[in-house]
Amino acid sequence: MRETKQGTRTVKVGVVGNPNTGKTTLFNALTGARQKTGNWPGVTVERIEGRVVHKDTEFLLVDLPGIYGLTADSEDERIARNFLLLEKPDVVLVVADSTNIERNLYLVLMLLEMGQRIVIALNMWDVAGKVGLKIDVNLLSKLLGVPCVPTVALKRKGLGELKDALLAVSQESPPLYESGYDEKVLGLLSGMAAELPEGNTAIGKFLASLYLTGEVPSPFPENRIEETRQLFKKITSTDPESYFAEHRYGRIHGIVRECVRHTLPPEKRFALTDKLDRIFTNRILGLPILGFVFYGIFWIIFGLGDPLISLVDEIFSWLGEVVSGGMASLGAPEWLSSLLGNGVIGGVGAVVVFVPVIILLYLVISVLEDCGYLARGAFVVDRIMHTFGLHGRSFIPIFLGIGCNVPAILATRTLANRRDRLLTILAAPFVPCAARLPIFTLFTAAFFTQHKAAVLLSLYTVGIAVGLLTALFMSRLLFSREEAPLIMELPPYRLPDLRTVLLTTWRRTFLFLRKAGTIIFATVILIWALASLPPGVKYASDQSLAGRLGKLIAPLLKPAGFASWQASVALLTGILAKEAVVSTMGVLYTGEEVDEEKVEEQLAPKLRRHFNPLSAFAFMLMSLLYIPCIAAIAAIKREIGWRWAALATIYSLCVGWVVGVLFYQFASLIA
Amino acid sequence: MAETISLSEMEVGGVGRVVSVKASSSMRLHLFAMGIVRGVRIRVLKVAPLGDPIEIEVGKTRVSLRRDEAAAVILEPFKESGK
Repeated sequence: MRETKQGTRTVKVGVVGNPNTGKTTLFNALTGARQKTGNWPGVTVERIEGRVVHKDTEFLLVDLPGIYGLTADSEDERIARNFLLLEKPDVVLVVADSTNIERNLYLVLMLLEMGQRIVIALNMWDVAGKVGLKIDVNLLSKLLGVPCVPTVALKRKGLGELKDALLAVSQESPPLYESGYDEKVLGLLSGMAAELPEGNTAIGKFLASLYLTGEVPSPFPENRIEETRQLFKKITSTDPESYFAEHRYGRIHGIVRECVRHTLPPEKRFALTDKLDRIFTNRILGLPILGFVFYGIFWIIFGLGDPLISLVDEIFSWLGEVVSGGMASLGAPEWLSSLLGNGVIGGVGAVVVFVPVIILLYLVISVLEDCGYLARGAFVVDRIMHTFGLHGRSFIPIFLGIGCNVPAILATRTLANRRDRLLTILAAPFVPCAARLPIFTLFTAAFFTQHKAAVLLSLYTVGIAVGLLTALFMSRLLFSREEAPLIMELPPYRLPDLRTVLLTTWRRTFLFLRKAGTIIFATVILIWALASLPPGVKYASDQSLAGRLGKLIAPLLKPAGFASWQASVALLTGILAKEAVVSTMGVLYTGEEVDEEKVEEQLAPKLRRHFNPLSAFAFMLMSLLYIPCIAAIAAIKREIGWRWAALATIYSLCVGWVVGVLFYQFASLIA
Repeated sequence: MAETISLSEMEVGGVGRVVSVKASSSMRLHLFAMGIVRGVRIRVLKVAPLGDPIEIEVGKTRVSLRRDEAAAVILEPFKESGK
């Protein structure tokens, strides 16, 4: 508890709970829109804080990731554990699903062993009543030694009582919890705890148990842990992991037997879910339905998003022209009006252009996640993704990549495991996004009019294959021995809470703009400078810095069959956005701005002078693979940090070059 | 000692009680946190369209896991099966 100047107290509350308990909905109901979003130190998982004043006390609530336990190999669980151990909340609010308190209590018992002050929200209380569960709240509170408060977060019920309980508990001393472990086991734990900085306290003994089970990397030497484990086995005739887990569940079953009565058959909880699953995870229908759902997602995000994107695009290019025109008429130097018109406004536009798609993506994803279908989709498709070292849920990002790699990368947030997430993010940028299509159509129109479909199909196949093989290769290279488990809950289907969906969408969109926006903007300005400097040169001409750079790069591209500096500059500007390759080629090969509608007929004859069919295909391969656009790189950095963004960029540069060159060399040999 | 089989070998509709969980330490902790511990009743509900993973009922939850993960869970099957 902290005293503030006004004399009001601030009580720090950590909000924890299993996934799918309505934890975030309850958090939102308690705090309203007064939330602050940031990242947890060292990781890119969102940290959400909210404040609420109750009586003379201010609660600072911190929403922790949904977790089942406190093991070390889950990023979410590590965050929660570090928060509990290092930030030491005054009270821990556990949000439990009333219809399934058994599994939810597992976490509660661990927190009790830790010596935390706890309040339990028995959420979805109304659903529990409907499925015929009678829970004796007073008895449950008494047996656990922790106040339990029935709540219905969706209907904002029980919030006042919950805040009262939080307030009351914050003023008490932490409960003394008797774990009921064997005396000799407690002796072992005390012995270890005495050597820890925490000493022989509840938290010290709890930490010792985590070290012993290997849930947390231990500060003790390995042989010490091994010796203690052997001793442990002698005492309990089982290993520590099983002992603690079985002991906790044993106690939970005892408590539940006393407090919970079924007035209806227990299958009732899953009545609707079972009916729906007979369709959604059906052996025959499951996959086609998944395909249909994905088609729907695609249609919503890109079908609805694309017109909005074009609109934003038009507004910004109009704005750019107005500003540079206005500046010119005011007598401003050309470089300044170009900086403002093309650089600054273009840069802002490059960021804003993603907003419609990203909002739609986050909306769709959080609805799918909250209603329970996402887990089913992963269940249905896991067999395929697992072949490439990925998780069932990786399918969504890979699939979304066909529209745009940026939402694809952001969608990896649905993957809980860090390994799955990294692999999916490394694979996703190779999936040919819609922005690469103009390049393909231009070149196929110029060189492959007879085989348009075949060429396009082969490019898409290459892109997706390279993505999946990247995942496979990286999973072997970076995570040699670990296998990420699939073990996941298939929660009951539920109607998502609109308020939570909207708040989540808003928060994630805002974070993307803040984190990725600056990088995108800076790169647009940088490329503008390269193409426009030194002052007085024609945009991206051979005299500009970009042109000179292009001449430097050109020899590197010779083995792929196209050593022109124009092609190099086009690839350079493609970093901004892949469609920029086409417009740059238009300027460089024809010497003027080319109309979007006429680009093919004007540019095609010029291209035929600089490329042959083989080098044209090599160029398409290279622009397909060579680099994620800056927005995608920024998204990668936002999700998993700049090191991985750099790795992804360098790796794809190598892959793009190698594939382009290999193709050209082999094809030339055969032809 | 009754006959035991692994969860991955159990047919859809089969019910059994967990006798042991034989996996690496971190995998076991995952299984434990999901409620898969010794003494718990498990029912196999479904197999995914492509034959893997499977869906099981543990207590009041539905959990999906891959066959090679399920192989770690050793069960003593009940005589009754189906619903």
